[in-house]
Amino acid sequence: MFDNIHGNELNKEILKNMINERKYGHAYLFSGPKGTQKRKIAIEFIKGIFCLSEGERPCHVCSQCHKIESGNHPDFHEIRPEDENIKIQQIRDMQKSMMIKPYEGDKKVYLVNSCESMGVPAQNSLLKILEEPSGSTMVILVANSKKSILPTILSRCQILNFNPLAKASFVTIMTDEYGTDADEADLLFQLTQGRIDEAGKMIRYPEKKNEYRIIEEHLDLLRKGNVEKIFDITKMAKEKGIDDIKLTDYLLIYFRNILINKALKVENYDEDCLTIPEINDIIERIIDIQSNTKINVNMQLQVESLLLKIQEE
Amino acid sequence: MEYVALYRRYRPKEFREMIGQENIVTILKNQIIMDKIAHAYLFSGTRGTGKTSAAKIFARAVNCENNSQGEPCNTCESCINLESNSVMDIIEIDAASNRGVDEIRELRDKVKYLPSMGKYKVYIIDEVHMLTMEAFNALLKTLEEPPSHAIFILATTEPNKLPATILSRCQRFNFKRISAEDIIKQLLYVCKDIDVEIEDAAVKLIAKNADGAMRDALSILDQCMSISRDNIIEYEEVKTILGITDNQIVYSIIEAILDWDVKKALVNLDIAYNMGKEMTQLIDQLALALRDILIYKITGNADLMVEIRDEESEILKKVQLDDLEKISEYIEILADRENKIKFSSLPKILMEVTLIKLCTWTKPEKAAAGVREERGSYQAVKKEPALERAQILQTSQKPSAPPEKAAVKEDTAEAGKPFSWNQAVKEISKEKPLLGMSLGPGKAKIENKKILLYYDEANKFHYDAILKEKEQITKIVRKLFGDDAGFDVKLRENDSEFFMKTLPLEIFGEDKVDFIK
Ligand SMILES: [Zn+2]
Ligand SMILES: [Zn+2]
Repeated sequence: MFDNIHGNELNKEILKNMINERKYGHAYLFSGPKGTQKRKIAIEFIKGIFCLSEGERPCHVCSQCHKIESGNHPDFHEIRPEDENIKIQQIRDMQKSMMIKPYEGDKKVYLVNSCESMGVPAQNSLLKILEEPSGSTMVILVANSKKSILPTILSRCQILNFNPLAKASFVTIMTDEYGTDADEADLLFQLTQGRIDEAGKMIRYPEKKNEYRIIEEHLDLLRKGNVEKIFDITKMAKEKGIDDIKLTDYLLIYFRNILINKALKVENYDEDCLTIPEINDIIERIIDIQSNTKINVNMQLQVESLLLKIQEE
Repeated sequence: MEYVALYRRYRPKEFREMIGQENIVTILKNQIIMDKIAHAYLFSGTRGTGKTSAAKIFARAVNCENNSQGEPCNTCESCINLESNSVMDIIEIDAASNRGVDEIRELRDKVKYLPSMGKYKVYIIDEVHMLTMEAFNALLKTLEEPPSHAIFILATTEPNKLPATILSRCQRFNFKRISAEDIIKQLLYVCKDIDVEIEDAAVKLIAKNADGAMRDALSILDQCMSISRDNIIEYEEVKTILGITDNQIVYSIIEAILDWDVKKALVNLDIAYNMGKEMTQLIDQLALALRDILIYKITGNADLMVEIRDEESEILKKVQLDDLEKISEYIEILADRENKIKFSSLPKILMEVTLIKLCTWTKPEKAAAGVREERGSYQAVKKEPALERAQILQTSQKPSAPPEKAAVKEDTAEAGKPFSWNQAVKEISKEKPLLGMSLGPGKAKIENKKILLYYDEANKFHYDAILKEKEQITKIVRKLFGDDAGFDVKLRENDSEFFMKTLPLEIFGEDKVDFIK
């Protein structure tokens, strides 16, 4: 079970134990940042619950496993946001559907994705379901963060916290399984914040990873006084289809690296250019641009003026 | 799926099983014994303190055929039927999921019918603050003339969101957070009952993290049992389950910031990250801890602290009065970054640059005079910041307080009637009851006879109602307190921002930017 899933060992163990002992609670919350394979693990777990095999569960071959995998099991319901939010009506529908007895066996499982997108009324109505669950149902909530979930819900759920991989184990997996070198693994860690699925994608499509390298080169030149690079950067971003957020993320990573080297007084780090307050200031601007991207149309102009400022300093 | 969560298995069935609410239980039992039952109750208090359990026990007790000393017997026909929901004399209304309009209307129509077997029909309205204005109005009409066989128990975690007109019709019981000792006792009892051993330190850690809620405590215990293989619950297991909410890391980071120690800050951040700490949660904790330091240093009142629970904490000793300006700056930076981290795809990197910014923060260049002035202004406020804070926090509840209690500190007008927001609320309610209702959920801030009423996003409906009648209200306020009195109303976008940013700044005086939109 969970053969192809890295990290979160404790959670996997808890879930395995439950499958082995067939002892399940009524409400779970899988909480952790995007890309920590919460849903993937939930699906494996749900397969394990329904699986008919006498040996290891889930077996991935029985009819139950297949039905879950393909999303065709009548007693397994998955709820996803409808245009960005989980609506109160979806929760009410869920509540109604819970009254119906299971079709195939003796249990029903509801998997509610992106719970952080639920408003307070929807959450309150979910609360009622968790308060008086009927004997045969299990609800698994999946959320990016506990912060947007009501405390009254949290206290009714068994919570499993999902974490991105720590840097050391990330680097090990990258070097052992994907054969990347240490430098590369380090960059991938920064770009993905330890989300292994995404790192895998970047290795399969290297141009994604190279984007950062190119921008890094340009920024180095820019800092040495090569003003034309400003327009090269925005032009390239446009051509390569790097979106605004991604571009500013790259800028952020770049300046974070400079800042850390400066602040930690790393030896041999070139001292000629920016001071710490200046870097702090640049980072502040990058973050501001990021939080404005939704309302600002002319992103290119903003990034250019930021880069210009960097060049001046 | 035979496993029943502990908090459901150990839900109290009699008053004597209720934990940590002795006063309330005694009063309720006495009312039953002496047959002096009110028609409307309000049970308020934080989650997991027993409001709904108490309501259900009370509902059975008032109907029980052989009730003794105010307790339901749980064996007579009435008790059994009520417990199993086979008679409809306990009606539970969930204000949250349907916002109540239809239910409350139905309630109004049916309330006149007699109970089917016992003496009373009991309506339990949970999360009552979620009702819409319409539903509140309908409920109010019923509460005004309740039939003698009806009892209403309103339960809520947020009594300040209730209209004053509803509050004034209820007997109010405030459920306290349950003390750590009580929680420990109950945890030990449960462990013994289910035949599980638990380490002393483990029980204590669970109790500390349960935040006064029995349900939280039992949920944590449940989770510990799911990872424990040997029927002994160990301290380390509890720590693992809690995702190390250990404050030590938060303190270490704050120490690093105060010492300008970038390396220490980053090392501790790595530890927290590797342990699975959410960055949003961490930044929140940092800001709250700094806020605690600020408030403690100014007021000397440890009760106002929320993140730092220990008055003896080294970190409080470390901070000098001179640092306070710096700290308020830190809080501002953290509050600003908190929102951004929430939506960032690089939360850890954002956290890193934020910590470095704090560790390298230097006071912006200012004219020496300006700096001195600033000092002076917080010295001046220092005299009564606790009162000011109390006022901001309490005004929202004032309309509910009985009249004799209402004389909380308020500005006094130089001439004319003493200035009192309560007085104004009363007058406005008299003239316009609906408007009075909408005043309740607002939080008032009073300064030089100017009343500024804040509303949360959640109370936008009330805000809109007040905004529409702003001029009318200003008129009434002026009539009461003179022409220099003023009234304004504002919508606040985000509550946490208020506590993180605005409040500390207000403690420091008015020379800084006003963040309230
Ligand atoms: Zn199978
Ligand atoms: Zn009885």
